[in-house]
Amino acid sequence: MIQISDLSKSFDQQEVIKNISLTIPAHQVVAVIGPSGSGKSTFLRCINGLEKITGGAISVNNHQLFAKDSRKVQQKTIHAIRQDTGMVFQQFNLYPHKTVIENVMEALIVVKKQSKEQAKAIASKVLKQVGLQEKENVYPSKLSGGQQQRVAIARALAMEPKIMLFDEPTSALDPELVGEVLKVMKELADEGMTMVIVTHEMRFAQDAADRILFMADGQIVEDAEPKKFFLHPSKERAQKFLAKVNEF
Amino acid sequence: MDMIIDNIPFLLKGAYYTLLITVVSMFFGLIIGLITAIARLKGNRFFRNVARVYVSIIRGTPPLVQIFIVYFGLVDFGIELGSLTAAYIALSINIGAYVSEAFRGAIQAVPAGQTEAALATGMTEAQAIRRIVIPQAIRIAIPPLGNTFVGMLKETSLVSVIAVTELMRSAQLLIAQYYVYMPFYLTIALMYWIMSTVFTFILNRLEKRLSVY
Repeated sequence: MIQISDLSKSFDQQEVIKNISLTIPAHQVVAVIGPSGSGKSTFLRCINGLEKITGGAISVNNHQLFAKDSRKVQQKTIHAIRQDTGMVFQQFNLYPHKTVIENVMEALIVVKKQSKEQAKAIASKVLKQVGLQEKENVYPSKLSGGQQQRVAIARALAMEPKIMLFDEPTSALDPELVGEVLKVMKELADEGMTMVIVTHEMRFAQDAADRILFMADGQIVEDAEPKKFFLHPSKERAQKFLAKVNEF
Repeated sequence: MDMIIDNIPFLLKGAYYTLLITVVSMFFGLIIGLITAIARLKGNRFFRNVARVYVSIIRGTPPLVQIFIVYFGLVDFGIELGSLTAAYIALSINIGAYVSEAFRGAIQAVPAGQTEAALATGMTEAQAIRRIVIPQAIRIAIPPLGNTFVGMLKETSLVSVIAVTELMRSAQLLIAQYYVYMPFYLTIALMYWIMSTVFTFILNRLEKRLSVY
């Protein structure tokens, strides 16, 4: 489903992603963890073209994006990739001037050219799925962080993506609100959604993911099943990281 | 006093033209300003530079000079405009530059995450700007636009020099007739002040109404 070969990404002179290659099959749930500044978020944002890749290639659902392609070709590919991927951001990024249901309907109307009625029906359905059907007509500012993030998930799901990308979805939440968001994500994982999740929630990574990618200094240092990774990390970097995380 | 009251209809007609010029110029100024702001922020190098030079020239030259160029200067190129038309054109172009600065600041004030969220759902850049960024930018731009608008109302007095009989020129014509200054100038000052206050009031209401979230 996702194939990444020799991906690299630099900001000016600084190389943030260094020659990453990996394949993520359909229905796999991948958690990307690692110290801050390791390039996790940048890696995720490369997948749907929010960051322009500077080397290598990415293939998402057979849409192939090459760093050497012209800007125009890349734009086209990225547009196609975004039709198949949904993304959830750390800061939710809900549209503040639109109600909850309008947030979810927006892309259905603008991108999929659906009628208002069609979009409304789908939006209602996905909002129900994340447990927010009574909040349809309120503005995002009236919701808690956890509720806002669930709306953001619904907004992505409404487009029926084949892959969901999560960029630290619970990092901006109060601790007591983390659970409701993780619960929705777990349900999604259980339904067989292909997911790539950048996260600091080690427990969640351990419980919900099929695979852990441990990143440091722009590279994937360890790529293992959760059990193996958390119990017997093979690389020293990973061992040190886990020791630090478990200090508390 | 009778002299003022007798001429109130005449002054009101002047005020009507002042309002008309303000509203028409502001309307076109908003369109010009929005396009210019987008060109400066999202355009290619050519459009960016055209927009930048336009704003720089307008902001760096007196509006009176701009009005004269449009009304008297263009005659050299065979373009003879009526005084009211020239006023509309000169003031629209003038106000467009200031409006574009207000819009530019407002567009930049919309967090980048908004565009990213829209792009991630599959919108094109143009769709994201139109549907997500601009509506939020307009709300942010209302207070500075309000100031520009009230500034415009007062600036219309400049077009009296090209024989547009708006409020300022109405007073001047009456003064030429009666040879008294103070009563007429005070009267139009009061009328300008009332119009400015009403505009400010309306804009404040609009701002409140649009900030429901």
